[in-house]
Order: sequence, then structure tokens, then C-alpha cells
Amino acid sequence: MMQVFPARARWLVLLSLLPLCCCGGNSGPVDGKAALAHVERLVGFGPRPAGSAELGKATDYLVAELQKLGLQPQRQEFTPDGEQIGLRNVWVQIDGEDPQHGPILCLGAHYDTKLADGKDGRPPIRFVGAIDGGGAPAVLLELAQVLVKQRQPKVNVWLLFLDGEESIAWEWNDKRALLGSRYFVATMNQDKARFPAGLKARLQAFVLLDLIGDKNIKIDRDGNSNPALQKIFEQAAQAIGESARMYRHPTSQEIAQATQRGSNWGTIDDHMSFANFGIPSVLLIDFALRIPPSLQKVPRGQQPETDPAYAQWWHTAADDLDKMSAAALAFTGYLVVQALPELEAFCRKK
Amino acid sequence: MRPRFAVTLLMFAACTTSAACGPQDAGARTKAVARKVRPLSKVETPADLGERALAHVVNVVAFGDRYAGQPGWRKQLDYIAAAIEKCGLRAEHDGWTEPKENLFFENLSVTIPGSRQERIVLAAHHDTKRTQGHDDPAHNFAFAGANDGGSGIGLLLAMLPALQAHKGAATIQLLFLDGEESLDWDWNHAARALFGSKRFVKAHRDALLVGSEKPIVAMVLLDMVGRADLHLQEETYSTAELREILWSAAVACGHQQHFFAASNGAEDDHKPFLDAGIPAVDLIDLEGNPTWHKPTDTVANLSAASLQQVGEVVLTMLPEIERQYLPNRAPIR
Repeated sequence: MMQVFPARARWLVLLSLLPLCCCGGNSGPVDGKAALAHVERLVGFGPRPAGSAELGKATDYLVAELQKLGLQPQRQEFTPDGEQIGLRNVWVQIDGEDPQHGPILCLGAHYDTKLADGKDGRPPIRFVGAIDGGGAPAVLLELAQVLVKQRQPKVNVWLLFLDGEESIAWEWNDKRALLGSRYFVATMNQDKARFPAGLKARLQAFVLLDLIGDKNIKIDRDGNSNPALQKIFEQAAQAIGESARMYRHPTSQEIAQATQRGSNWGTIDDHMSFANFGIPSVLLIDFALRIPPSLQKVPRGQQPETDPAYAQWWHTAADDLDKMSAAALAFTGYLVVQALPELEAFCRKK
Repeated sequence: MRPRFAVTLLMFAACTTSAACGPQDAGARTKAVARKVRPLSKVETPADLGERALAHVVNVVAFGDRYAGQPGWRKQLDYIAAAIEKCGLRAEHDGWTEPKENLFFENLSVTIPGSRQERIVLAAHHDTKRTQGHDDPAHNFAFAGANDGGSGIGLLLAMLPALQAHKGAATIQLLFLDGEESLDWDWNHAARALFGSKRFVKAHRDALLVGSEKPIVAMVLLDMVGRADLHLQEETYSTAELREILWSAAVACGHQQHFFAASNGAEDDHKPFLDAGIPAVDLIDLEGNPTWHKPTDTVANLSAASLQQVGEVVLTMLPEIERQYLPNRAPIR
């Protein structure tokens, strides 16, 4: 315990230097070019569907990158019920003020890519998932840099790299998707050493990043997300001058129309595994207008949704590095760092 | 741009009760509140600034309609580029096809380097309102856009030599923006307007995020600044400190009778800058301007004296903008 004070003092010095580092740059705390380099590495492994050897390389890469920072990433390997493949989640804690018992903020992203090898009879595509399975985990790796080197979090931050998000069947199948996040929630809740009073008692908020990195990135409002957490991110975007990219989709008119139809504009994604467990969760996703016409389920007589300003790469071979920019990744990371004080307060309030 | 709706209604109500409503009556609307005035020194301004600005306006108005796709649009861009190059500076073109509209727009800019890379942007839109092909015949007429389009361009070009001689530390960027005017006759929440400023700000944000540009520390927008009967309103979306600097500069130059008689918001090219957290101020003569989007927006209703006065005020603002917004540290280059 003798070391606590010097360590804290060191952090105070670092924190006091922070404003000097930030002023004049405005470039934000997250290195977009480094994040894009992570995506290049992940994409370089090839298509990375759940259970593949290529995804195993991605797992090793994530673990090695986190270890470089002096962190201790944990692997969670399992075979889901009813499937024949092994899945691999990775998680790591960045210590807050009370590493053993304190509240936890979890930032998650899936890093598996959509299976599209053609063995189900569909025309095969080479799907490398640069944006869908690459951008978001890359941002998490760079957030780890910031949290370790620039700004120690007040609450424990868990970075969670999820496998098995994509439906193993081409068409979405609730039973064969979100496998990594559901397993994570269930097993952690059983972990009496870490969570003697259950997962919910310590894990106070879950933030999911998905479909991150398009050059013309936007973050869409998701009807299944916690409104208080959404407000935190909306204000963070405004504070960093990025409100033009935030929650412009769907439009209030589209939300009203959906509400009339009894829909809530919700997206089913890994955050649902946490939300359904009672943990306040928010999804940061660039999904609206990204589905190509061929994959849109358009009611008869209606036109597919399209906007030439937004490339439609979702679940196609077009989801590749050339659609991405370092700035988009830097923006996403900046957004999370900017939101961090409010997220910490949210986690400590409970 | 468009005036803020609710207040316009109020003003309209006020007008209907008064036979003598209009710019000549503007004094009656002056607020009694005392404004904070910073003690600024008037910056020496070339005596022929207004004359040269007006000459540029005459030249660009002669090109005819200057909105995307019109021959006059390209002629004006070439004219602006030539005027920039005559000063020994380089005109930077940024042309693009706006995806949904299938229209080709082009922003022009010129940068005058200072000892610091942080920029002050002075901007004006170069496009004119489309006044052909609308369903309502009342919206189709010959339109010169002398004040609305021409005046801002003319004044920016005329100020170039003075800005080159400017002794400040900040880099100055002049920005000639396309696609400010709404493609629809109505403003329609800027859904089809402000194309050039939105694009410029987005590119700047991206460049900032990867550290390839230094921040824009402030933006000054000139829109309709040449009317003989000049009445620049206090544009209320504009950053409060910049409004204060603007008013103080107007006082320092002795031109306050042309400023802030009316107080109202106008959505204009400064909005994307404000949304991105960049301090910005709009010098605009919209409230009670009888020539706005009318056939009467002609050179005959402009004056060199008005352009001279606005030029003096803008040049007087610059040192104070630097003092307020340039981060206080040693130059890095």
C-alpha cells in the first residue's frame, strides 16, 4: 500500500499536463491513423468468421496489442450450445480507483465477420469486414492506449472484444447470433469471485461500437438504447463540435412513422444481451442507409432506401479499407473519451 | 439564408402597425440596452477599398446568373481566381458533385500565411439565388444578386492587399463558398442549402481529427454588406464575444449607426462552423432589407461608402479576434 501515494501523484502530474497536450491540436486524444493500421492488420488476416483460423489470428493480435500496454487480457473460449465451432471472446480490465470491487464500465465491439463462403448455396463473397468487424475493435485498441497512457479511468473500464455477433445462418437467426455477448453475460454472472452479488451489481453501463469507420461516418439513434446514455453521447458530440454526425438518422419523422407502426427503430446487436440482463446499454452504430438495395426487405410498391452520400457496403464485398478513413476512427474514439467523465459519473451514481 | 421565423412574425406585426416601417425607421427599433464596448483602435484602411470592392461587384454582376450550372457561375469563379492570382497568391479550387442534387459546386479559397498556422476565416458566398424555373411565377425574374452574392465577394477581393499587409500572427483564409442559397425557393430548414460551408467544415473536422490542419479559431461571414442604406443586424446565432468585437469595431470606426438596429437570427454559412464549435459571426443586412431576393438587388442600390465602412470594421476586428482566440503560446512553425 506504500506505493499507492506515489502512483497517484504520478497520475496527478500526468493529468495536469493533459490540457497542454490538447490545446491547439483539436485533433482529439485518439490516434486515427494507428486505429486504421489495426484495421489493416485485421483485414490482412482475410475473412474472419466465428470459428475460423483467421479469426484466431485476430484474437492473438488483439491479445498481443493489449499486452504491449502492460494489460492482462483474458481469453474466454467456448463452444455454444448447438454449434460445432469454438468461439473466442477477449476482455481486459483497465483499473479504476477500486479495481477489485468498484463499478465497471464496459466498452464492447464484435470482431468476427459475416460468414459468406457460399457453403450455404448463396453466391460466395470475399467478406473481410473492414467496417463491420474491423473498425470498432480497432477503436477499442486505441482507447486502451488513451486509458493506459493519458487518462486513468475513475471506474474500472472493461474492453470487450466479442465473437459470434453475426448470425451463423445468412438470414438473421436469433438463436445463432450474439453468441459471444450472451455467453459473456451468463458466465460473468456466475463468477462469484468477481461478482459476488451478480454481474449487475458492478457492471453499470455497456457501450457497444459497431459498423465504425466509413469516411462519411454518422452515428444513428437506436431505439433499443438507454436514453440517458444516449444523451451523454449526444452532448459529448456537441462538445467536440461533431453534432453534424450525431443522431441525424433516423429523422424525427422516420421515428414518428415507425412508432405509428409499433416499431421502435431498435437495432438488434450485442448490446441487447446486456440490456436484456438489465444493464443500461447504448449502441453507437452507423447503420441507416448502409444496406444495399439487394439486401433491403422493401415492401411491395416501395423504393429501396438510398442516399448517394452514404456508401452501401453492409454485408457485401464493398466493406473494405477503401471505404474508411483515419478521421472517422479518431472521431469515434474522441466521442467516447469526451463522454467518459459523464459515463464514469453514471456508473458511480448507482 | 433565412430569418428566424418567430421573431420575423413579431417584426411583421410591428410593421403592420406602423406606416413608416422599414430601414429608414430602424432607429426606432434600437434597443435601449447599453452594449459592452471594448476600446479598439481603428485599423488604417485604404481609402479606395469601397470603390475597388464596388468595381468587383459591377464586374461579377455582368456575368449574369451565378448559380451552379449557369455560364456566369464559371465566369465568376475564373474572375475570383484571377483576382487572387493578381495579388501573387494561389487560388485553391475545391469542386465536387453534390450527390443527391447532381449539381457541380465549387468553393474557392486563398490563404495568407501568418507566423501561426491557426486560421481566421473570412467568408462570403459566391452563388446567387436561382430565380428561374420555379412553379410560382412571382419567383421567376431577372436577378443581379449585387448585394446578395456580389457584395461579399467584391469586399473580400478588395481587402486582399490590406490583408497581405496585415501584421497579425494568425493565418488568414478567404473563403468563397458555393451553394449557400436554398435550391428550393423556400429555405426549408437548410435541407438544400449551405452546401459549400457544410462541405468545407466537414473536411476541416476530418483534417483536425488526424492532425493534418491547425484549428480555425474564428470565422467572419460577409453576406449582403454593400447596400447604400446599410443596416447590418445583430445576428443572434453568432458567437457573443464576436458580436461584441464587431460592435466595438463599429464604434471604433464611428459606423455604429449601420449596426445592430435590429437583432435576429439568420441561418447562414456560419451555422456549420458554429455547429463544429468554431466561433463565428455573420455580418448580414437581412432584417427589413427590401431588396432581398428581389429584382431590386442591383448595383444601383449599393454604395462604395457602405463597402468601405464594412471593410474598415472587419479590418479593425482582426487584431481583437487574434487577441481573443489565438492560443497564447510561442509560435510553432
